[in-house]
Amino acid sequence: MPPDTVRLAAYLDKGGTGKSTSVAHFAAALAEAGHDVLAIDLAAKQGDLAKIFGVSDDLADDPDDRWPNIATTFQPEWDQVATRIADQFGSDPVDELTVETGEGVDLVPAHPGLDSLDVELETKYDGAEKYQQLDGFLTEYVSDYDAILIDLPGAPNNVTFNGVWAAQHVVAPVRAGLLEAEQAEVLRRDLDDFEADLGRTIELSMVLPTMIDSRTNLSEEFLAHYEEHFPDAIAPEPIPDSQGIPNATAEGRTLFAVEEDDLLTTAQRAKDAYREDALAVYNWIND
Amino acid sequence: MTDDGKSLDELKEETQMGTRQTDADVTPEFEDRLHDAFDAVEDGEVSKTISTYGSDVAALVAALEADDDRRETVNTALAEELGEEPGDGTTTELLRRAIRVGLREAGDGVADEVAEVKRERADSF
Repeated sequence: MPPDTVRLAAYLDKGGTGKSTSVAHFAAALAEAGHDVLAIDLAAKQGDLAKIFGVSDDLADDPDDRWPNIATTFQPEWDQVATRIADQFGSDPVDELTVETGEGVDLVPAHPGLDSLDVELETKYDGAEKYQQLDGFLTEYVSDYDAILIDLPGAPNNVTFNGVWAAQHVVAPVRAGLLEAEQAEVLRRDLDDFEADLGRTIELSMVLPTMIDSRTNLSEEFLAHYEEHFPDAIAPEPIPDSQGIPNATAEGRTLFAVEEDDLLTTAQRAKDAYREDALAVYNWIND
Repeated sequence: MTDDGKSLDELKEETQMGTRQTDADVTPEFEDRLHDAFDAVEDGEVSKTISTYGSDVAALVAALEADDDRRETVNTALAEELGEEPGDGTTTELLRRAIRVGLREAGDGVADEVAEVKRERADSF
């Protein structure tokens, strides 16, 4: 891995906080800035990144026809698979896993095989090895990118911890509300415990408030809470609540692929915030 | 990992995990598979012995085998969980119960499906 490849995993032990949307927009923002970006979707059930980037229809309907896939890279047989592909087809095995999006971002989409991977990792590897497979794959096989962004399941399991282990840097998208305020603090404790247990440095690089409506007291109090408790990690710009975001992603694109003239004010502000935050965390990690 | 010369098709067969969840979701089909599996075990086509790999579990089993009192208390706790008499409390019995308790607690309903299939098979005699 080149020393300047930034790896970042989006995680919070809760669904619906905007993890996939944030990963997609951060990826698109970094691609817009001229970086080579790979997004990896480890949240199997949703497969949201493929939908957000509008490439779901490019994937085979039958999951069995999508082999090798991201789940294959966690298997002990992956090195043999990669060798066979290189020998027989003369191609880079990573190309077999990757689809190009229309936004300058390469995507390794999720696969239903990730659902059973949690148990597979437990039975096939001992100790910390079960957390290290993604890191091994990225280090060994993926070298052409400036940034690798990883979308994780909204629950702590062996797949999640592979993403955290590999990235070492976590962005936690949080949505206004008391529960989410507690969740980010729980996440920081979880990461501290993980770091202590496994001896792997894990950094909560950015807390990213999403869906913020600045007209409400709740949002103001929520932001104040995070600025107080995470002064070093709070994103420079909270992501404003904008109907333009779900409208764009429902059409299979991020705000970065929508014509400027078609963006309403809040959507433009959301796009600008994603851009500023993505570049900020990229630079924080790189420095 | 050592390269043992397997073909891509063989490696695909070994590493493909895409359909497992789908199969598990289709309950009637899985119950058919269970019936077939019971038949195969009864006919001797499938071994009644299973093995698993894992140094943590292997170490635990070795320690339990060396400690009769602890093995008995663990086995009794598992038996109570299942509403059964503890019996002899052999390691094999303990492991069978541990698997059953685990599947009952978090096995996506598969323990109920096994119970249902066993009832159907008992009724058919």
